Amino acid sequence: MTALGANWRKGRALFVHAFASMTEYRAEIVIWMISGSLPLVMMAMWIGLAADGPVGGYGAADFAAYFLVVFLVRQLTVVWVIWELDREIRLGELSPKLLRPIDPLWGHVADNLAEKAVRLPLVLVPVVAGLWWAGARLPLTFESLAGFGLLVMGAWVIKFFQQYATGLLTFWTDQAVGLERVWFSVSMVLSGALAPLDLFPEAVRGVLPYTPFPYLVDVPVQALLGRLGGAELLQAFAVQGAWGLAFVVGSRWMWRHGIRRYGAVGA
Amino acid sequence: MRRYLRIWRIFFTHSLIQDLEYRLNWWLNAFNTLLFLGSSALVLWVVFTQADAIGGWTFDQALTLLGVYLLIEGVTVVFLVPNLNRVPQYVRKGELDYLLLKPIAARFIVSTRYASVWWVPQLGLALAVILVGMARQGTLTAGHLGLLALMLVAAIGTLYAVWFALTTTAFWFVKVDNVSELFTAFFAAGRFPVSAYPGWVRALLTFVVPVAFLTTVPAEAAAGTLTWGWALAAVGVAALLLALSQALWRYALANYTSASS
Repeated sequence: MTALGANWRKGRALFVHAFASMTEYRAEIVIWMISGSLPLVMMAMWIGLAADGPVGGYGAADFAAYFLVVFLVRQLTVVWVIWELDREIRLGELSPKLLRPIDPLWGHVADNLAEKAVRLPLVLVPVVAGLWWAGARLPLTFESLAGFGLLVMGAWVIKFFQQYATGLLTFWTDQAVGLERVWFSVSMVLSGALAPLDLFPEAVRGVLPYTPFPYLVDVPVQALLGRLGGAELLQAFAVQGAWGLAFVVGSRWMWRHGIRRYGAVGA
Repeated sequence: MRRYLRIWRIFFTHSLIQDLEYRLNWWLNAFNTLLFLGSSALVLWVVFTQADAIGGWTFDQALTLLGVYLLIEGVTVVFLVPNLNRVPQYVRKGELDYLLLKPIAARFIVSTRYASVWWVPQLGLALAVILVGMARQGTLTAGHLGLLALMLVAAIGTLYAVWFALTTTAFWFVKVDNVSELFTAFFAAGRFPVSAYPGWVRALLTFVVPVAFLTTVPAEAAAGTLTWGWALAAVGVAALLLALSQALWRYALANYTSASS
């Protein structure tokens, strides 16, 4: 059997297992969905502001479209791997996983993707209903859909490996979760989840494209809303890809160095 | 009453000693609260570059409201979460049996045993924001401060009653660990005055989930725009919900059939 075939079989086994256990968590997934509804609160506030006419070029329906797609993007890129790593490393639960002939990374990836497969239909229903109700129409072209799909995957890669890297800090300190909270606070605002980034003051807007934050929410959203041209899409892929690669390489490097310090508590 | 105060002090000191083991956490949380404040202020700034007011509130009034939001959230994280999140576990594992045997009210232990002292910096910072906001509005007088304090007590009473009642449903549903997630989702709407939202959302936040009484009403007290009708309503709602939550708790205890025996 070829190496590729073996890997395919391993990946499929991991995914099927993860999918089976995630379907058990349907009710929890709905609650986790609701807990990510802050963008919808912001939507209500902005729609209230736009009641007397457009605000910064956005009318009520534009705000509805923007924040409903923000909600969708954040739901499709939800990552919680830091809580798993924090627990596994501190309590020594990582030990049995190290005995398996496969990197623990892949188990986490399979869990996350399987959860997305369960979550996607649950998320699409309220988003599509909301868009229809608010009278917001998306210009669904091949370009906007393909661009959106790729940018959401890229956003997931950045978020997953950023959190994986932060989680691996548990090898050195027990404050990794606190650091993740700091990252979360900053990225909530700077990713555009609370206000469209083109409404930000000039000084902030000039710096943002050099940070990974806009590529987590705002850029994929603008792609689906059809506001990015071909050249802008290509540039977004390039910058987002570079950040994704940096976090992948960084977290792999941390894994190699951190695992040597692993104390295997409880083993 | 004095006995309960003394016991509460012992509980708190115990939590303090435990949390002092993790001093770095204290600083991280303080830093994180500062960041949260900075980012919320940035959002407010973005909003106010586009509009002169949100729901008829000026920047200073909205800033004071943000302080109230931070304070209520801080009280939740320091005093409510560490206690009430344990209730489902007490019921599931039958640990409640031991608490019921103690010679003080079980509801008191369940509600006060733990405190997350790490997050105390948030309370101080929130108070500072409120005071700065009031000073900028020119409403920093004893009268306004007194009414604000009363409305904050009512807000915390309302919040505690609702959360406690939701947690008490653990006696029947067992798996209610996610109550705090749901609460956080709805409470997020409290960072803006309810008048900022479209009509039906405003009605929802006032009459269904009483978020209006948690942040908008106290912030109006600080701004000196609160009417006596709303002040009375806030106290009445708090008293009513506390009484209802107590009735539910007693009903739950009467039907409790221990998991351990």
